[in-house]
Amino acid sequence: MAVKIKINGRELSVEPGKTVLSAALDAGIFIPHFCYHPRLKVRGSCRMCLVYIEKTPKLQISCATAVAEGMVVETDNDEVRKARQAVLEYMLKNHPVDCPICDKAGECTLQNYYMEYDKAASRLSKHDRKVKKGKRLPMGKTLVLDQERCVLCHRCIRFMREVANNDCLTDARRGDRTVITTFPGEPVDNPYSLNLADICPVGAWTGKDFRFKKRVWFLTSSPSVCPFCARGCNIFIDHEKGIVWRLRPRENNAVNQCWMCDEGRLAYQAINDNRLSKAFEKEEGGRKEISMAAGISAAARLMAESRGNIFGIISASATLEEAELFKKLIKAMDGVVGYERRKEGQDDPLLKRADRDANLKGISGLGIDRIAGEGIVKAELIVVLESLYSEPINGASGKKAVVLSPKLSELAQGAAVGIPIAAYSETKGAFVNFEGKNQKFEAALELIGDARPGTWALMELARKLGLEI
Amino acid sequence: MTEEIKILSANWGKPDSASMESYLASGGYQAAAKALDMEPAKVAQEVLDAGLRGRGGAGFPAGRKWTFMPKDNRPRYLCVNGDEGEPGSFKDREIMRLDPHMLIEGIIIACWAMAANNSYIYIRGEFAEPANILEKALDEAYKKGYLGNNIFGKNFNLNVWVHRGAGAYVCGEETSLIESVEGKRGHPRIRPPFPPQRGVFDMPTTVNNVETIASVPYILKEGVAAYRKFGTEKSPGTKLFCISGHVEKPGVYELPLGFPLMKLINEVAGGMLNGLKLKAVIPGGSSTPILKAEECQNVNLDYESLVAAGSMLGSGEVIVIAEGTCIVKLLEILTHFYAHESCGQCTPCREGTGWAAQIAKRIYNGDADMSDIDVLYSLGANMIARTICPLADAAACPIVNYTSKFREEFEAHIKGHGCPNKNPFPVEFK
Repeated sequence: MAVKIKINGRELSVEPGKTVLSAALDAGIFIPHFCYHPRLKVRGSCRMCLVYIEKTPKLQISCATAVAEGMVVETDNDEVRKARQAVLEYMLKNHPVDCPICDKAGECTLQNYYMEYDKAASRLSKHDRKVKKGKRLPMGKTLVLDQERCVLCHRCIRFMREVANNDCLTDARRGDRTVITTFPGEPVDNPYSLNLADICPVGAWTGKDFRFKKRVWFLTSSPSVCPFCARGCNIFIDHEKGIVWRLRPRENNAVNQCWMCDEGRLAYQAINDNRLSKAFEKEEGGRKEISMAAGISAAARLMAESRGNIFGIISASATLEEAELFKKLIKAMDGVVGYERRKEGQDDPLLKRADRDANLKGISGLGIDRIAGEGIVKAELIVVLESLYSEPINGASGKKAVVLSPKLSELAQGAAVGIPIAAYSETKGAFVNFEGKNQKFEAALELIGDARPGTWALMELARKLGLEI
Repeated sequence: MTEEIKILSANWGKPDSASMESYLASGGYQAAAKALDMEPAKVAQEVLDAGLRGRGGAGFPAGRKWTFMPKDNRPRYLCVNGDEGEPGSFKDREIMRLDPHMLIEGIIIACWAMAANNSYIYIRGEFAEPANILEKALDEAYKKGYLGNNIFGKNFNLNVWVHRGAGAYVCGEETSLIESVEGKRGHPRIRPPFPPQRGVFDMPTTVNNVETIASVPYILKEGVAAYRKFGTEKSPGTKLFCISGHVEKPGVYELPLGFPLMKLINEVAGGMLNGLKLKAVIPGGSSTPILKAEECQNVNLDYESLVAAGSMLGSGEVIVIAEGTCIVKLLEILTHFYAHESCGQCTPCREGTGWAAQIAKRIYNGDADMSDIDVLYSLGANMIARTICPLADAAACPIVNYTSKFREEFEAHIKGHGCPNKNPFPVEFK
């Protein structure tokens, strides 16, 4: 039975057991909060989400107050506004207000709330001192901690304990001397450590990789799906002028909740580096860059010459669309088709899968099997469609090869013809994750150089070969 | 002192009063034996009828609190709060070191009433001596068969542990006490769920003050009517009052609730120290509002009278302040205490207590502007009722109170760039 409540005069019908805060957020009524996080246990300590509830003597924290039939809530009356302003004033008392040199500026909850709910001048006297806490403390390989900027929301501690199952973080000391820390000298060593930089509402936790590289307001965030393993975490690709600066998890409770692993997150460099932007042909002592049309023609010619003796290899991280066309093309040339996988890793209890390919389930679902070594040896020509994270294929080096790849891989370097294709970041497509979830995504970035989506290249090849696929 | 009644303090003067022998000689453990022959619900009803109210400060009826324990099959716990951290309080310490068996007997009765088989006596870390005495008393009680399995020959097991704190005022708050018993940092929990639903190790738990539990044996032994002979209708019984400050004979005195404050100061405690003039009284520990001398004249020491007078009984810590005491210095000391003790969880208390302490210190030293008084006041006001536990309210009380009741002293410090008195106190404390 749904519960009827009223927030700011709006009648809402809410699932019983929900909190006032989540009911309000669901209804599009924003209540500011620091410590509340939908995927972490309620802590109720930031006191930012205080609201007025009729018939209660004092303001209540909406994050820990369950809805009840007939409840009347005000999220924006004078009393609430004053309370919020006071909370922000307290928070800023010992905060260094070093926004110009803080990496979080522009996406800082404290900064945003100050503009939205406070905007009051500081009442600190010239005699008042701020409590000294640690500045830019290195906290392991991936993170830096600025204790002074911390608002003690405990999201990081809770994430580590509740999600990453790691007890490495705690708060130490008391009162306004309280800091987040590890055991003395211990790093934060966890494959999910960089999520701390995401969930930290202020600039206390910053990732070493992204720190000071880019002001966030220059970045465009485009939704995508991470191809680094079979989980298919939903992500944002944050980029500017064709350069990717970071990946961030995008909420999808059915796949990755709000998280992603450090390995997948830091793999974004592959989008920027060593990309193939021009078609080429092998020539004496090297490669000759040619136009895309010439590349397609050259590839088609090689395929026509070896018709009936072609071995087609597709990356298990290619999109469903690429794989379908690839299979049809190779079959139409009377060739054999197989997929190639990346080296297996290990499953972990949170997100990471041993299967390091984005679309193994989708591609095997198309009736494509794993390549067999002797197939490569026997074939006269191999046609390979690689993806961004493809690894060298056993037995393929030295073979005559047509390579469609987003990068100048080891295999591409020795290819007879190379065709530049889009990586997952520049094309639309779909991956089927290990649980069978078909996840469609759109292109996040512009195409690089002459590169075109793999599907386009395959269609062009078919057209050149006079095939209907 | 004719008014002094000996219920809680009956054995304090006796030689070796902490021993089992001494306690048995004065009729000890008869109440427990009697209670265990009664229905548990009947025991709780006796305590409710006696009108025993929580002596930790809130004054909630103890018998009613016991009935909040759910009737399910989970193990239940009684936590006895011996954290006694409130500045001005030193009464539970006396019970624990001078008559530990009275407390243990109270625990047996309370646990029987609530069907709790486990009890923790949470004692503040600084109380090394009382902790050792309690441990010894527990050993004696186990040997006698008053604790352990099938106590008093009944099908009832009870184990009691002394759990020493690590020195945190906030652990006197029941939910952080529970966290501390579990071995965690003393951070108060959000309520609901309340301890009777989810307390120690998420099991049903009741937390009672040492003095509350120590009052129980007398009620069971002598009966409701005997207990209600003392005190007032709404605040029955006796209470230990800790009187400190500028009086001739500071100490712990057991008095009936409703006892006149001025009589406590002038007669029981031997009058003002060196004949000094009374300036103000903090009647219930540092967290309760201060009363100026003229507000103290007709005040009685019971829950209702003190609320009517604009303060609180608290846990009965009467701090007497003589003329010549600097209120700004007093606030500096107290704000420092609360800034030191804030657990650091909720924003207003964490940052507000430290900031207030800075300002109070600056005002005392004369490095302040007039506007600092208003900032100080609002830092206190903005903390009240905005946090998980009442530590912020406690911290805010003296700030809001002293700056409004003694504003002229704050202004004098700012105008004169420091304390007008050479010494902030009229006498040197040894």
